Amino acid sequence: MTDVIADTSALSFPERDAWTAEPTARALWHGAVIQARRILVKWSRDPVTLLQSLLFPALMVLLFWLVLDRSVSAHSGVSSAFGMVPMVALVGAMSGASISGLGLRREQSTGLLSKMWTLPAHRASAMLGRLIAESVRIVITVSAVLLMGTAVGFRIHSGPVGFVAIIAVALTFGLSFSMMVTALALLSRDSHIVEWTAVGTQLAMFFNTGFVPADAYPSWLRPIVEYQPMSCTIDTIRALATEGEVLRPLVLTLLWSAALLIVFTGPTLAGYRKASTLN
Amino acid sequence: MTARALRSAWSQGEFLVAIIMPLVFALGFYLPLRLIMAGQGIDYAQFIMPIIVLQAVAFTAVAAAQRATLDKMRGMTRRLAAMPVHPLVPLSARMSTSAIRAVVSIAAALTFGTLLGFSFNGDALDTIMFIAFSMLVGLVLAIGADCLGMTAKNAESTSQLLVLPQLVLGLVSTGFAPESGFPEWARPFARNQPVSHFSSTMRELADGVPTLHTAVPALIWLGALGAVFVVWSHHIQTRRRTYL
Repeated sequence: MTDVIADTSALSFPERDAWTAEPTARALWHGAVIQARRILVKWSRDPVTLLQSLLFPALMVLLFWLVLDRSVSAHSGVSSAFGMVPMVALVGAMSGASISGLGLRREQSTGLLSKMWTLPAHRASAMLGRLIAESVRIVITVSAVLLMGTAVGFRIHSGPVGFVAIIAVALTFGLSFSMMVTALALLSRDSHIVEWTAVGTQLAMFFNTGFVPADAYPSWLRPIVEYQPMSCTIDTIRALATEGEVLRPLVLTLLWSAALLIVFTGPTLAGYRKASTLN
Repeated sequence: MTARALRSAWSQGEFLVAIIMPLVFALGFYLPLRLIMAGQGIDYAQFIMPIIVLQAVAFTAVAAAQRATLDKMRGMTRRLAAMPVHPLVPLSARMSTSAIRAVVSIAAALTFGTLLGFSFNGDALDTIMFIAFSMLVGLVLAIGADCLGMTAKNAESTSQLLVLPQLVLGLVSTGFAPESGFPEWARPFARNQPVSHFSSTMRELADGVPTLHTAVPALIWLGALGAVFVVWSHHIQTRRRTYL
């Protein structure tokens, strides 16, 4: 048996002039799509994720409208739906990011991230795949909320272009927030950090210009409420839906999103490497 | 066993959550809606306090359900069933833990409420009855949640299942907004569901003007829910296959 293996004269290998690696961009995209599909399939089979991404946001629109529409509309003179629907859409996107963060921690603790790191695949594909999956989830959540919003009086007067623009704005903000949650999930030693982020999200839900108009808040709180990232994004979506003044809130939204991405992209990548290479 | 559950609750930050959640809801509803409700002639700090307390004890119930599910998943329930321990001991321990957490949560809610402008305008008996009624609601909800926790597959789905009725019954009640704030078609539900009766009774106790007209429906609801949950709990505790 050993003689057969030792005698290689009978074996003929094909001649190669040069070794060509798979193009990096193609490998990255191919791996990212596989990862995104894996995450989306997992989410679609998890009732908790489906509840958080679809049922809860849609239900929140209806409940907040039932409880607050008359009081808020009487105070402001306009339908509360144009603030409340964008707010719930963003809260849906943000709470989904928290669930994703918890899932990421679980993948780290079970060793799945380490396993992915050792596979012959582009190492950035797992991270990019997660971002693609997040994007799909945000688009579905926001679309579901906007659809539910039509039942309570929310209308997009700017037509299909306005709808696409609203999705794009929500996606920009949602992904930047997701980047922050991912960084916290990967780098923090506190196992409850993602849950605390979710509590922060809940608190932010009450202190923005979508819940009630800014003039309803105490004067000392108004500047904080008006300029916090959620309010800027809500004002942008409201302006896009009603064909109002969009430039100022849009610029503020993009600045907030850019700031979150600049601050948290580095830590996210470092955290991903650390989480994947820890034994 | 209560000491074990309390240590676990403390290490997992449950008591911190018990303090923070009432604060989130108190600030979250009071600060944005105070001026709007003042326009309708409502002292919102006084109006909102009962529902904040009820939300606090509802979160205690969610924690009770998760505790029951985790005990079952980790094999603790099964292990105790095989030991010379009275079947009601684990349940009693979980209920004691819930009661202690409810006390912390109610105390936190009332402290934050006082800072926002809430006050007890009745005599000492009204105040005691307000707190006792809150605790009783908390106990009934905790028993029901514990039953759900014992039958659920995992802790995450347990909390999600409980958040749904808490959200619907909490918001579509006369706890956060007066009945006149709802569309006409939603008013019968908002007026007659248990959370509305509980919050109305507690509001009257806080104002020092309790009436049987308001208290009787609340007590009937509480008694009915209590009876259903106790029977369900007894059924679960006496069925050995629950532990397997």
